[in-house]
Amino acid sequence: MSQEEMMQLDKAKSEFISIASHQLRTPLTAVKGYVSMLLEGSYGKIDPKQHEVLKGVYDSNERMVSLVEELLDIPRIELGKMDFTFAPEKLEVICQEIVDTFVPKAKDKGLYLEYKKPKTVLPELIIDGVKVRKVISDIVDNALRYTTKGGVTVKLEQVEKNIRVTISDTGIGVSEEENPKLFQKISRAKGTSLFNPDGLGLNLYVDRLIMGKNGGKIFVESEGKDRGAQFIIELPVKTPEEILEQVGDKK
Amino acid sequence: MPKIVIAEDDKFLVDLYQKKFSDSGFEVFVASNEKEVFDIIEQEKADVLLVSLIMGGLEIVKKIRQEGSNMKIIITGYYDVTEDGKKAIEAGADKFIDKSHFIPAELVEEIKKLMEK
Ligand SMILES: Nc1ncnc2c1ncn2[C@@H]1O[C@H](COP(=O)(O)OP(=O)(O)O)[C@@H](O)[C@H]1O
Ligand SMILES: [Mg+2]
Repeated sequence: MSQEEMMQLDKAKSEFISIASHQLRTPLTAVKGYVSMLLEGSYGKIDPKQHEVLKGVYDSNERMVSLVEELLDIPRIELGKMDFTFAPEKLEVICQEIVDTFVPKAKDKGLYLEYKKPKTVLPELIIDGVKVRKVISDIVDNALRYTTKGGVTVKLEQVEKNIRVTISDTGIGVSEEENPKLFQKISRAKGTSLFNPDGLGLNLYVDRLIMGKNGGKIFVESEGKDRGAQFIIELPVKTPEEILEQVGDKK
Repeated sequence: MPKIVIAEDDKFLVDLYQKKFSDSGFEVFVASNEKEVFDIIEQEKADVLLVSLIMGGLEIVKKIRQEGSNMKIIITGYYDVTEDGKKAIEAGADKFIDKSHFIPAELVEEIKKLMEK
């Protein structure tokens, strides 16, 4: 294929993604809207059973919304169509907000979710806050999903020239053999059901690519099956010169 | 009663937003193309415009701002496109909202907040 043909193919793919994105999400948005209004009683009073059923419809639809996002992220990042916007961000705030959002989910499952704040004030990082937030949320979400007893701890600290977020759980763990495969596309460790209804096995793959774009790393450590897992995210603290360079080459 | 113009591409979203905003004390006008948006804004002196990206939101906002109006404008779209969010603000919108993460009630809240500013 010639260079030009390749570029045209990429362009066609990108167009397809944005059309697919719009077409898939519009009906989901309408369902979300209608069901939320039914639940609020905007179309008349509903009884508790109806409320429960509608809540089921709502939650299923929410799952569909995130599956569609997950699926569309793949071609987007592979085609270089995922846009990154770098700005100074405080990871303390991001972690706190994520923990706050997941507390109800942990409670539902009877798990603890604990946040260990840094002892000192951490330097701001120049990152894409929205994307890094998504990565940490994915990891916390997984940790809660793959844990049935005990819970999850999110720890934020500075380790030498890196800011490190460690998400530890007391769940099913990762075997040595599975470890290198987790960050591959559509990876799914043995023992986690193939029919896991909650995900497609794409998040960790995208998360690693996102961390790479932010100059960071993500990896997992585990003592083995059923002994919990620790996902570690590291982002380098940059000097002002390095920041200038990073911002400079994005222009 | 605040007046809002809704220009959405999907008939069900129009229906939803129309009901929610009326229930929340807005006078709602529905526009199905760019011309109608401008006609309604002019005739009704609308306070708020909710327009989707797909309806040509960016161009519409630019024109409104060129005419010197500072009415509240929200462009709706979907998250993928963080760039679209940025473009919306650059074009002069007050806010870009990812519809797939906002229920109508939250949309109303956002708009009320904007109107207080
Ligand atoms: N905290 C964890 N403990 C054990 N296994 C995990 C954990 N997080 C992820 N995994 C494994 O990694 C796989 C890939 O994760 P992910 O990309 O998020 O996909 P998904 O959660 O949709 O299956 C999971 O299917 C699971 O097998
Ligand atoms: Mg997952």
